[in-house]
Amino acid sequence: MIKQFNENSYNTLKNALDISSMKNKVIANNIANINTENYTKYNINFQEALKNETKIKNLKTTRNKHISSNSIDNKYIYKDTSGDYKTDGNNVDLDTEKIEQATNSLMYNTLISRISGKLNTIGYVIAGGN
Amino acid sequence: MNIFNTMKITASGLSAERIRMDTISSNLANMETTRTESGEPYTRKIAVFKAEYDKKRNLAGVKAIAIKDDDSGHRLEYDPTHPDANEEGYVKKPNINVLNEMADMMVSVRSYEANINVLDATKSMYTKALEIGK
Repeated sequence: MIKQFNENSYNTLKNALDISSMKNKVIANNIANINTENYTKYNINFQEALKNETKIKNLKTTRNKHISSNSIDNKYIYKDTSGDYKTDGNNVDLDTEKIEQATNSLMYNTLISRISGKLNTIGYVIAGGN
Repeated sequence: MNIFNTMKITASGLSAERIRMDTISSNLANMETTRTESGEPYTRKIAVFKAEYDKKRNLAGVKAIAIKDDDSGHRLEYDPTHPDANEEGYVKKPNINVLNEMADMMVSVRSYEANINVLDATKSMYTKALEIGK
């Protein structure tokens, strides 16, 4: 059963969910700083992060009660200098950020529905086909 | 339908309309401005939009690339009491017609709303697609 949760496609979905949550934080940070002087917006390189984070990362556990966790490195977050700078040195555009947020939540919903599908299949098998 | 590219095009439309609203507000605020840094009265500003093509598909977003001056000149108003009047008593005022600006503003608002409607429709199409097989 544990093998089901460690196979490649399940792992990719999990990593993509982590990246999607991180992207949500980045977007919230940008929107909060929409009037900050000389603030350059941040962005996350989704494709790169997904390509490189294909291995399962576990925290080292020395006792069997330790919980290992998966997390995505912060190295995929970068300063995004694209877009127009306003006179106060800030390049956050509300429309762009809101649309990024909308697409990110759709992506998140898609991933959740895929993972639910996988888990439901396992549940179905456990219930003996009922 | 690549949802991300579709929404980027909509985002560009929204940003461009915001810039157009900025020029309209600048024009309306400066309707009676007779002095600017160059010594001339305020000139009406117009936002210039350009299509930004997506290389792979033949579709384009929009970008406001410049805010240009309207070079149709200034109007003369007879007011000898004005400090900036010339010898004959005429003052050069900006060539801004409030009705034109209001019409432009309505077009801009409707355009913004239309882009938002496209966004809602795209989102709901995508969400419906997720329900296939549920």
